[in-house]
Order: sequence, then C-alpha cells, then structure tokens
Amino acid sequence: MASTGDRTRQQELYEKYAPVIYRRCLRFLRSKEEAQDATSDIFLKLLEHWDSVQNQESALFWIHRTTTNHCISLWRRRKFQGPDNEEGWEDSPLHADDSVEKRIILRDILNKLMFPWNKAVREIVMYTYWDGYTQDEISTLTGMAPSTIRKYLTRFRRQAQQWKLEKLEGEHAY
Amino acid sequence: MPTDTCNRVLVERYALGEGGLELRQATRRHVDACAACRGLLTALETERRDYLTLHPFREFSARHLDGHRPVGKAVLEGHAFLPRWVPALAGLATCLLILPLVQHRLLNAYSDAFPNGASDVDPTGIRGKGVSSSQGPGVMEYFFKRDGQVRPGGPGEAYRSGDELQFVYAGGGYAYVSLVSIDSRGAVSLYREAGATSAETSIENSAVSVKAKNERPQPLPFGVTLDDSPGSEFFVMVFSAAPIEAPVLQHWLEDAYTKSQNGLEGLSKSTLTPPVPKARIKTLLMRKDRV
Repeated sequence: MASTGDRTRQQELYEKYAPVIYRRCLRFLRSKEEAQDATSDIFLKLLEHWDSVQNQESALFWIHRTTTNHCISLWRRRKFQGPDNEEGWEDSPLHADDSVEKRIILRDILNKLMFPWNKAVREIVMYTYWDGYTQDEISTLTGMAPSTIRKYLTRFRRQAQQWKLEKLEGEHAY
Repeated sequence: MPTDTCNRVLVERYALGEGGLELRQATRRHVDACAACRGLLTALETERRDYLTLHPFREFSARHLDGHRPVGKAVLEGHAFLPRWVPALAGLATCLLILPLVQHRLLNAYSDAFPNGASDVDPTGIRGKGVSSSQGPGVMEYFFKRDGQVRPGGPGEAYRSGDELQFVYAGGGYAYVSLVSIDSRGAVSLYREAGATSAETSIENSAVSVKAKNERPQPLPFGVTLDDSPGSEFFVMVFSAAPIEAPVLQHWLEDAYTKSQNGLEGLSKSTLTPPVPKARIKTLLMRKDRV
C-alpha cells in the first residue's frame, strides 16, 4: 500500500505521471473505465516503490515496464477481446492511424503472447508490435543492446511462423 | 539524440522533464527541427491536460489515499450481512480442531519470530474465503497477528490489509528455504529478511533463500504483511539444497501462472514442477475478498 507521505508530493507525482500511465493503459485495454482502474493500481504501486523508482535512470522506463506487465496480466485473466471493444481507441490522436486490419493482426500476435515467453521477450514484442517502437527506441527504454533486441525478435518471429504453419495445417486438416 | 533521427521515447522523457541537460538540449534541437516530434510533444501535453481535467488529484486522493474504499462485490452478494466474527470464529474453531498436536510447538516457534508483541493494523476489511494448504511430509504452516493477538491461520479465516503473517517450516533435511508468492494480477513477490521486494521493481541478481534449520519447526526470519491488493495470493515455499537466485524463482512462478488454465486456482503442488532439481515445494492459496 502506498505510504501516505506528503500529500503535496503525491499530487506532483500524480500530475506528472498518472496521465502517462493512463495513456499506456488505454492503449492496451481500450476501455476508459478499465484503463482508469489500472492507472490507479499502477500509480499506487509507483508511490509505494517511489524510493527505488526515483533512483532508476527514468521513471518513464519503470512505467512502461510495469504497465505492460500489468496489462498483460489483465489480458490473461479476461481473455483479450480484440478490436471489438473500441471505446477510447479513436479518442487519442496518438492512435488514430491504426487500421482495423493492423489491430486484428495485433490481436493475433497478442493472443500468442499468452504463451510462456519470458518477461524480457514479452516486453520487446509488445514495444515492437503494439507500440510500434523502433529498435533504437526499445534500446532506449530497456537499456538492452540493439543486437540483443534483434535476437529476441528473431526468436519470437521464428515461433510466430511456427504458429502460423500450425494454424494453416489445422485449417486444412481433414 | 541525432537531429535526423526520431526517438519517441526521448521526446516523452523530454515532456516529463527527465534526462540530463545535454540530452534535453539535443532533444529540444531535434523537436524544433522535426514536425512529427513537435506534433507528438503537443499531443502528449494535450492528453496530459485533458486527463487531469477529467481525473483531478483530489478525486484520486479521496478514493485511494483517504481511506475510502469502493463497495466490494461481497456486499452486493449479501456476505456483508454476516457479522464479521462469524467466519473468523468458524475459522479459528476449525484450526483448533485440525492443529491440536502441532500448535504448541509452532506457537513456540512463532513467539521466537515476534518477540515485540502487538502492533496496530489497518482497519480496512479484506475477508478471506478460506485457505487450503498442501499436505504431506514437512510443514508449511502460518500464524497471523492482528490487534496484538496471534492466531494460527486456517480455512475460513478472515484476512485484512495489515495482517502480519508468520510462516513456519520444518526443513526436512534441506539446507535452504525460500518464500515466493504471486497475486491474482500475476505480480510476483519475493521475500527476504529485509522484507518483500516486488517483481515490478528491479530485482537484484541475488539469492533470496534463507538457511534452513532442521532441529524443530522454525519461523522464517521475516514476516509478511498483507497489502490491500484484491483477490487471492498463492504462496510457495521452496526447499532446496542450494540457495536459489531471485530471477529463477520469479520467472518460474510467472511461467507457471502463464501456463495455468485457471489462474491461481490452477496452481498447486501437483501442477508445479520445482524450480530447481531435487527441490521440494509446499503451497498455500490464500483467498481474499474486499468487503
């Protein structure tokens, strides 16, 4: 539980970071209500761990990592809904260029993410396919070398190709 | 930041006022020269303003920092009409029936772990639906302290934010014991003598195991204070011949949760393979409901 601490400091942190958390949650969850609930949870976590977060290079990196993992956990529990639930998606100017087709592809990829990849790979895949970050941007976020990011993505793509083949074989089986 | 390369992460850091002077100056130069990044910066600032208009701090503070809690589902289902002492009394009675033989020894162990007596607790109510612990050789039992009173944990007990849990183990010949848990959101917590370390923060690459003592049931050298996260908590005690690194335990439990078809309910001693060879695990699922 977040320590009560100094209320003025909490307000400063809230006004600085809660909008960032909400934007990422909304991007993942697409429901304003769920995004707001998740924002509250993650911001409380931020307050709780503020001593360690502020000693890290960037609170933004912590927020990216924590929000990504939190939202993946929520997906796992509710089963990812895909593009049918569009509330909030169109409101953001940052998401307006995502086509329905892209979202369907993303849904497929993200459903595969329910498989047991380790956390580092999950994050990189999310940043690549969901956020559309470049490898340089992911390197900035994670501190990983671009070569490591490429290695993880290669592994993921190889597995994704396997899934695709299995799916095709399943459709044509008789 | 090179002026010819866009990096949205750096623009976002710039918007938050993060980074050193040199980085901020370089980002500013790029933003001045790049229409796309200027647009991103404007969008970030607009979204921030809109969010704070809709969700001001005073609203968040009233809901989450001032002790006001949303009404839980259990109230709507009628559980709130039961006096609070009914499930607590039922749980205590069950414990007394189940544990008469080991209680004395374990209470002695508990007293060793909590020599300082009572402490205040958060009055926030979280009610447990029940607790199941694994059976078999070895011991993984626990006690909880509330309002200065120490009681054995057991099925049907009511748990609240602020309750202090003290786990007791019997080494069974193993050299090390580790405690790890995962909550219903999939967040793993590792415990060590200094307290819990959330998996969401950085975890040092160090062992979290403590050296086991085998002569009689022993309390772990640390307690666990329940936070106010809703839902269940699944605890695992791992007995091993050597210390286990924190990331090993973390990834092991995360992966098990990921593979589970039924969330925490699908995790049990029988469905989990120990994280390291020749280790033994004991499990405990603690269910909590917000009231």
